[in-house]
Amino acid sequence: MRGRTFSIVALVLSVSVAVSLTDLYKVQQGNLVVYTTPALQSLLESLVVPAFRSATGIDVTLVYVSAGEQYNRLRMSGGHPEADVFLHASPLFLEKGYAAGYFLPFQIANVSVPPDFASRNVTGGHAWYAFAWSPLAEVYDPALGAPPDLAFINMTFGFPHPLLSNNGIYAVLFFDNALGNLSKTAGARALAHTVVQPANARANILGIADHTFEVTLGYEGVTLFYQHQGAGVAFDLPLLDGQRFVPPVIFSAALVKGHPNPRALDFINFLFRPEIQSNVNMSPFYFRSVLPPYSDPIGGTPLPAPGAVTLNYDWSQWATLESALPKYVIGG
Amino acid sequence: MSLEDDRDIRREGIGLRWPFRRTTLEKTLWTVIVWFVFGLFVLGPLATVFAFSFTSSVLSGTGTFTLRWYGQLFSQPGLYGPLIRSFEIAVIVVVFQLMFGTLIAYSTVRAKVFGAKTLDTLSNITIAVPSVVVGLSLLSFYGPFGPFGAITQFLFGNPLSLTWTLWILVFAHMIETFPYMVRSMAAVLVKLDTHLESAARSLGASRLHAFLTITLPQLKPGLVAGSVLVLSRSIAEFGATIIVVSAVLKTAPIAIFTQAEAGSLELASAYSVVLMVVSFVAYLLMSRWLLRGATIA
Repeated sequence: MRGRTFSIVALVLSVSVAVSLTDLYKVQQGNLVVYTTPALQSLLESLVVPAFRSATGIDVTLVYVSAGEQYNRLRMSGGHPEADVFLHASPLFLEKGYAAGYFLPFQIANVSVPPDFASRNVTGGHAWYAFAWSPLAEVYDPALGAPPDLAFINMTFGFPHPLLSNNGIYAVLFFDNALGNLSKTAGARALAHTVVQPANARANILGIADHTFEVTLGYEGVTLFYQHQGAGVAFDLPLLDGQRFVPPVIFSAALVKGHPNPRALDFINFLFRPEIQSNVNMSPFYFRSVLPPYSDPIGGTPLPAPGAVTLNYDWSQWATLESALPKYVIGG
Repeated sequence: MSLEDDRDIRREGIGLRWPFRRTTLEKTLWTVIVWFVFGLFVLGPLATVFAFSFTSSVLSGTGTFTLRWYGQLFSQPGLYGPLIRSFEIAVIVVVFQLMFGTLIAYSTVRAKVFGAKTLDTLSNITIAVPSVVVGLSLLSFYGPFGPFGAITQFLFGNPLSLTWTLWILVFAHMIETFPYMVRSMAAVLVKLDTHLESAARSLGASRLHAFLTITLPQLKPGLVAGSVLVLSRSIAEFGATIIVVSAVLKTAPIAIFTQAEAGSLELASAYSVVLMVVSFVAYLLMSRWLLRGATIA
């Protein structure tokens, strides 16, 4: 290698490193980071983020890891979080994080959501607001013909992991609260028939599609998303001892304390804009709006359903629900 | 051997047709077996990923041919960004390794610093240690609750943390790729002829001129081989990266994992194909272009 070649190679490498470092720093500084769930992937990537980007010029980075993992990443940040906003499918970790001082209270601008779609009042506003919802559904293999009664389940079940996924938290909420001891017994029975514990709401529905298990509890919106892609899955409102339930899965937003991007609250407010709320029920999202006019998604269960009991939960009691989670982990 | 003997052997050879046939049969059989096993464990899975990347819907089981996933991949910054990030980080890691990997190799092979053998052994340790452990150890050390935080608290009155920064990611890739550069350089340093440089110096060449014209050409195979290995390994790094990576600096392997976990098998497959092709081309270009006339140590 002659001296000239060496100089050229050294120059090329130096320029490459300089360009790379500049770009990487630029990327790291400019983005608004949202920790969220795979269940919201299509809604965020196809509707919310492009609209927010075109309205504000701000790039949004979406981080899809399990709810528990996101909470732990926040804890490990030690006052220097990378996330600006949390968008979760259940408020449990948002309530827990608020109690631990990881989230800021806030007030959304110009709209008022029904009480069931916001946290209790705290000093400075609320700890979280729901911006969309979807009923928890009993999802099953169409070969079964009809949704089995969960009180007497006798086939393979996919109990979503309650410590890793919000889907699992809702499954525990349902079994622990729907019908007292009867539903708790049904929950234990479902767990006994569980072969795999999916770690997120999408993997859960895919478990039915690929015949890993026959029945599970998943989100209506995610189920419709996969149904319209051709996946062989069927669903209905959860049936327990002859009674149908509507357990609302509420997709909620919280503001991270010490968020690096000053436009974080703008992003949350954007979720309640008419162009977002009027489209959450459209294909391929299939969620439900928290603001009127309410309408069912295409192929979704018409609500209110006659005779079905709505299972709202007081999320300020999150510690009670959290203490019940470990018993629904296989081998836990 | 006489001409008569040679003729005898040829005659026997022509007469013994069965062993010739058996050799061909055995060779064919072995070829089929080896290619079948290789296909089953290596080519088959990779070809499936290739096929999935051109399928409209894997889940439906009736997918048709489509280029939709590649269109998405190259049109959305959120999707092609991780590919660019991977190469940017790999370039930084290669340059750092050219300095630090070479320094360690030189220290252990030529300079023989105190504890050279121990240093040489320890430089291989990350091959044995699971990469996820490397990630965790970095997070523990450079995180807000580790020694780095405590030291900076003591020195500056404020605990600093490298958690979720670019540097912890670069450190992770450096540790993971360290043995590849050190081993490549050590292999050429062992064979380095120092007399040539001494002769050049005695004939009046300056230290720099002697290094550039005598020593560096001898180091070239190690530098190139090390760089190619470090580049490939860094682009493919997953285990340590997933522990330390910041959300905005997501690399291509992490993006593939994310897409696969989210159920987008087709998009994850398209990503994988692009990554495979680009890595392979980079590997070929670097090895062919820079190693013209040289041998990888």
